[in-house]
Amino acid sequence: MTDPTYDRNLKCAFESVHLEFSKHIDTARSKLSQESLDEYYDGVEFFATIGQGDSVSIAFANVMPWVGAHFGKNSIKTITGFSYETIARSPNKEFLVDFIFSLIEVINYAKEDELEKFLSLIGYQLKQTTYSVHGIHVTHSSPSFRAFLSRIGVILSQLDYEGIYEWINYGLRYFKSHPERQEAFFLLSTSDSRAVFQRQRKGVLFVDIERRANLLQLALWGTDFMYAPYSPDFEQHEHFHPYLEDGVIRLPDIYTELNGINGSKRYFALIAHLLAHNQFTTAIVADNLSPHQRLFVEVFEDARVEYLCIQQYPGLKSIWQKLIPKIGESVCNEETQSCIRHRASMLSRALIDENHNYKNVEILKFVNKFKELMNTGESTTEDSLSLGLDFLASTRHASDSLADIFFTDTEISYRDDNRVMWIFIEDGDEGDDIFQKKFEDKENQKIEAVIPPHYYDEWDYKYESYKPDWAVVYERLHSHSDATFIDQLLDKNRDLVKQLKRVLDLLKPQNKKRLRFQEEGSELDLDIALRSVIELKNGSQPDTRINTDFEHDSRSVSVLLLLDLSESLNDIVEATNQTILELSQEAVSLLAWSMEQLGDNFAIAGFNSNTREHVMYYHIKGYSEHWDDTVKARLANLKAEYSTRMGAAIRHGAHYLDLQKSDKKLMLILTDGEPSDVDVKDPEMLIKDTHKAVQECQQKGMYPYCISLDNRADNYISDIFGSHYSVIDRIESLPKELPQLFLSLTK
Amino acid sequence: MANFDISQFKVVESPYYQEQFNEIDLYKVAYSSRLPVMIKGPTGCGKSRFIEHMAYKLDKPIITVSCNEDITASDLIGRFLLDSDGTRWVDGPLTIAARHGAICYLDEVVEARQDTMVVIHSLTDHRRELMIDKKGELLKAHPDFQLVISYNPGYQSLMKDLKQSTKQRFVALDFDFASPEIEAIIVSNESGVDSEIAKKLVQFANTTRKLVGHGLDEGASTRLLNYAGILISKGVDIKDACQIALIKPITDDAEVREVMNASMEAIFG
Repeated sequence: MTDPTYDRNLKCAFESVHLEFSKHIDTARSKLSQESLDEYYDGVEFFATIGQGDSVSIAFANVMPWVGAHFGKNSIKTITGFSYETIARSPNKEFLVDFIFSLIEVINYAKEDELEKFLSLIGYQLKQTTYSVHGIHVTHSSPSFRAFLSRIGVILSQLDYEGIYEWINYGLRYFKSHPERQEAFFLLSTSDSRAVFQRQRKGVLFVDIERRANLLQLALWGTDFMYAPYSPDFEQHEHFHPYLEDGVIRLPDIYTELNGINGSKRYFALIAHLLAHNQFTTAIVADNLSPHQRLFVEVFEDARVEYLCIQQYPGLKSIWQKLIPKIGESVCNEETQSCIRHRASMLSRALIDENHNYKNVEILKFVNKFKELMNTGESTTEDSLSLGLDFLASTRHASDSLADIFFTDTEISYRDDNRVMWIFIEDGDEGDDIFQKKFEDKENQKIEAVIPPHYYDEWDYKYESYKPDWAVVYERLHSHSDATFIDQLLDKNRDLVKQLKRVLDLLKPQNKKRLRFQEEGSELDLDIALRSVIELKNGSQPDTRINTDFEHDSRSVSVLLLLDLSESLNDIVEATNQTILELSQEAVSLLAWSMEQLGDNFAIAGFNSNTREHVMYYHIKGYSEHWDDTVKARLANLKAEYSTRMGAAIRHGAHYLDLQKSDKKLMLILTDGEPSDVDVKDPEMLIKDTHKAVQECQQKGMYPYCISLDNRADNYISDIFGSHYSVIDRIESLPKELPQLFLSLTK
Repeated sequence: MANFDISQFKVVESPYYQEQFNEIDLYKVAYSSRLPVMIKGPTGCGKSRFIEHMAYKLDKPIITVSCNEDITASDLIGRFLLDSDGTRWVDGPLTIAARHGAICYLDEVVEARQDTMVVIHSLTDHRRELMIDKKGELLKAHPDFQLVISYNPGYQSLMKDLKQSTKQRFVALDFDFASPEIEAIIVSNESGVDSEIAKKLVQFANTTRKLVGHGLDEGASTRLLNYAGILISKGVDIKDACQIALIKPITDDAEVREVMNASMEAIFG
């Protein structure tokens, strides 16, 4: 509070500033200390003189009463100084107004004593993203500062400062020289930006516990609803609650610990609540009820289904109890505020917690009514309806409809929006279906409409860490043409086919299996032999099957053949006057034929890439498909284009190969060059990443093997594949060599 | 051989058995005509206990053979053994039962090789006789003899199934875990825990049975419930008892264990 007699005239040439200032001076007087008020005057006057017109002063006059009140002593002066020194006197002066306006959101999340910390964070982002072309002078404005400011609320609310710096540094590391990507990163609009952001958050990600959630649902309720997590924090403008609709459970993608309940238990509480509704709630007509009435009916219905569920699973009670906020009885003033949510909150607690200690007569009365109802053993949603209506009728207060609603601690995080219990006969605009909207967005982008892309991490050897969700892999069925083309290729190589056939017959499957009771075999079975001796002595007919032998079990091999389909395959091999692609087609046809003969489980896929945003993975033959005309038709139509981002393709192929149930899993990669892509300048980067992908496969028990057609391959290939590679120098011999190589690998 | 005492195979004390459907009467009727009986059902649901119980009720000796894949026809019928005087014939369990009039119970019969199983064929149709070829004896079965087999259709692979020619010699009783109410009575009777705890144990077992095929091959059996009950009645904490009797034995998958722990927390509070 300031001295009411204090009077100071604002010295400013802009009429508009005077006008704006007069709107806010009363607030400033009531909120600021004498000292701060002076700083406030100084600031408004100062910013009108720095040559940026009236806009900065207007913004300043607008927000500073609140900001100054939040951060306290000297804060206005500090902000004025910072704004001038760091922003106004730099190429970024255009962002000054944005910065000042963003403060109004900042005070919701930054603590009173964190002003310095916050300002140095802003200064850091700004300094690091403002770059100069010729070195000495900083000449270009930050491409991402405005984006960063627009997300400042989300950023401060979700991460601690350490996490924010990590996230900023990640963005700087990869997008410093790419203005558009940098902007998208700081806008949190790209998947990798979100992934890095998520990783800095504290809490349990739903994806990490999804299998457990599924099993638990099945074990306790016998249901198998799907889950679709949403990110409430990235879509702040709308307020989401979990819900269960059309067999899908929508829930937040991350939960931090709350009141001593860890994230996975909070998910459990949420799922239990939804399924309790699913089990016990029957929908009733909502049209004749006011929102207030619905609120209390919902409170009783929530309590009712939870009560019934607790009868089955008493352990849930303590979890739910802890998650309902303990709200004080007298924190809400009925004279000045609408206490409707406060009452609902007290009621929620009183209905589940016997030790609620509330003295409110009506609450006690209705808790007793509720108990009586539940003790009868039979209750329906209709009962909640009448309890809710009665409760509101007997507690109604004139202030209920005031605009100033008491909200603090009145939200119960694990409860859904109760859409299951209402039927709206009239068409309304109830329910915010964000997922529908998202889907429509996607449809606008042609390529995403078919199958959603897969995201894979990529290894950065310089920082010894993964770049999360970096490469976007689109999987598509390969287009097809004429299958007879492949048959002609096989026909052309019929000598080779004959040769191969002989080798195939010799190939013996592995896996030994003991056979007892054999007339002939490699070992004597002593037990049986002894019995036969006895029988012989006894004069009866002895059993002559006294040997054991070993039998080879069936071959248990799964093979993925991964074809590099990059532009360079269009090069012509002089010796045969064919392109490498045509030779590859021949080789692959022969190999596929051989594998089909052996009855091995195999798949063929091709890949190429056009930056990390578009890694294409073409499905040519699946494990369950046979080597028939459809597959041949796809193989006949192979095209070579773009580049070779091998790591992402290997990871995607490994994903499917890993699902195959066989003892040996072989991944054959046929390529004509080193991994590279147009958006990667450092040639080592993708080589190292591919090496990492190969290691990942090996850890999962797969056996990646590379067949390279590049005669310079010796320079890098062992860095990627260790000793698991062959280089075929005479490309024209590929059709002959490839099947033989495969056979020797699986012998 | 003549002084062989078959009565040692009699069941002396009445084994506890809680009837689930009218299986006791059905079995009695089958026995009265000496029809061969086949009992199917999951692990630990009370198949063997039922046969033991019936043998007691009927006051007949029972000879149990647990089958495995190395069991041969002569393991069932008998063989010559060497001794100081040369060789001596010893009856196998099937022959003993047929000769002296006992119930022969072949447990987990699909584990035995199919060529072994065919020796029971002549005993399980109208002939009721057993050719002991090594001895040159055609044994006519004792009037009290009956053959009973059991197996678990759930977990055996497709490879291990009985031949139709074997299957079609038996009347079949299909067992499953008892209804929750009856199972709670069984657990409480067997282990001595009070019926409230028994009900909860059964409730918990049923949550594990829902996970079959999703990380579990089989849910917790009635036998394991009895173990848990016994531990509890000896003073072990309920949750500890569930851990060591119901959760740890049936899975090594950490996530499934975690889910079972959460179910346990929900049920036992």
